[in-house]
Amino acid sequence: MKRYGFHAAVLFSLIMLTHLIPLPAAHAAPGGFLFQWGAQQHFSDPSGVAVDENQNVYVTDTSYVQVFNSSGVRIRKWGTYGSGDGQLSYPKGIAVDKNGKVYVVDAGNNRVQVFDSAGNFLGKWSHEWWGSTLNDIAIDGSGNVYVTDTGSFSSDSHDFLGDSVKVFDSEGNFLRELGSHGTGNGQFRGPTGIAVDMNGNVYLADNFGRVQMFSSSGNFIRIAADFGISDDVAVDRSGNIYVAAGYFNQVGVFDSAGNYIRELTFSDHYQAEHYWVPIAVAVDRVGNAYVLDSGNDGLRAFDSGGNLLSQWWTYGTGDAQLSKPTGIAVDRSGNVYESDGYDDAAQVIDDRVRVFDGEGRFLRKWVIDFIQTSGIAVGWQQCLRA
Amino acid sequence: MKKSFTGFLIALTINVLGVFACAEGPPVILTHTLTGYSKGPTAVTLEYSMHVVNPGETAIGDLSLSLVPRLPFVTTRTTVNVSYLAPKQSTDLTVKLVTPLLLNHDQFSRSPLFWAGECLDAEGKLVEFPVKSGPGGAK
Repeated sequence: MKRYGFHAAVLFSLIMLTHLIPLPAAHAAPGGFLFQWGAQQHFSDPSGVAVDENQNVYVTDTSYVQVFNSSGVRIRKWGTYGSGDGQLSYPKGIAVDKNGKVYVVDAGNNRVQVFDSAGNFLGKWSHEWWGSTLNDIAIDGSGNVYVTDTGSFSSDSHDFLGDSVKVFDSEGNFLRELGSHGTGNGQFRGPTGIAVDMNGNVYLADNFGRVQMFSSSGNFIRIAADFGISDDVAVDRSGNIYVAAGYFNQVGVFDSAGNYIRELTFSDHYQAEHYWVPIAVAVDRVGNAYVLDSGNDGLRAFDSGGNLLSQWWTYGTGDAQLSKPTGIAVDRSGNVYESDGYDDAAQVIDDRVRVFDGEGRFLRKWVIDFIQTSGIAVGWQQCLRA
Repeated sequence: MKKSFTGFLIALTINVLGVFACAEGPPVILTHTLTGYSKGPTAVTLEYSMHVVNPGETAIGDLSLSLVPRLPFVTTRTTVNVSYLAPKQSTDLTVKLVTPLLLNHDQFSRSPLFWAGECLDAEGKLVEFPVKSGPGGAK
């Protein structure tokens, strides 16, 4: 009996230790992750976005890169925090070349790192003459790489110091500079986002509030958009220009002649003020725009007409998203009932109960005003108590 | 019975140690409060009071925190050196920033600050970590 008890204790110990073994999600032990709904992705503090030729969407975050297919399903993730090869520290801009090589601005380490499409480390570029704030990256059709360096904002002169836009070949060899510091045409103050169109023209946003267009040889062509201080710029295959102005809460769309077309916006019952902080934008080959929302730590996708297609994030108030969940229950048919609450901009608490099928697909919802749910149960007769 | 109890204690110890071994996250907790706001024609000057806490049971040495220039803080990379924090010790620091984004007081007061941290652990090994400071620190 004593021996049996000792063996039971050892067995208990071994079972408990299994939580130290990392398991792939799809093969998790009982109680492990199988699939999820509500939260489609796990964003922490996303800061850069790019789309490859296959319409996969790449998002940089605090210490990693996540890759999603066009349906929003995560297909890859790589990176850990640090300064070693392949490690990342607050990565920002990201670009993918036509061969699938991924270029990441590793801002915290003041370098560019290159990965293959599977996330394997290929190399790094670091130059002593780079300033303190590498920002964005773009690749033209010849494989040349454009890197924006915002420089430092001087508290004395109230101007940017050491800002530049540099062009490299695909191996990281310096080729030339684009533009120069200043406020004239072809000049910039604190460059931020950069994009290259199908014809090799380069679009550069800066902290002076303009998006300028340069030829592939670096000559100033014209002001492509005037949208205030902008964080990022993208160009679709028709030459339409998307400009994200994060802390001014706007994404403006301009045609190839620089005429304002529309602002990307969305309708959300729970977000009366449509609060968002769009800090990065990318456009895929069919014209869908992907906008990173720093204010809500998520990503919104719009079609070429500006209609909201989907929203991917951990926290949210859309039908398929979670916001302060308070309870969950399952009925005999396998449908899942979930209750949660959301404080809107006017501090009004709207609670809701939503129903998902057994595979996490949203089915329907009820909104319950002025009631704060604290749990949920499904009765024997399929009655709902919230 | 005694042997079983001993076995149980061993199991419990291993599991408790296992939990500590799995612990992740930054070794310090940061919070901040916007204590100064001055808006000029071309820039905003901000002053933050930072509250730094070592929540752990071991001391932290050579702690330094470098501000990551991220919106809305388009600013010079600022580094603060905390040096040493004993277990459970906290300290308050002041950080001054200048940014060209002419946002209002509320927008800056509710914005997080992102830091790249470095310290030496109890064995003298360099530890690099990201840490986000949220509003709500020392007044």
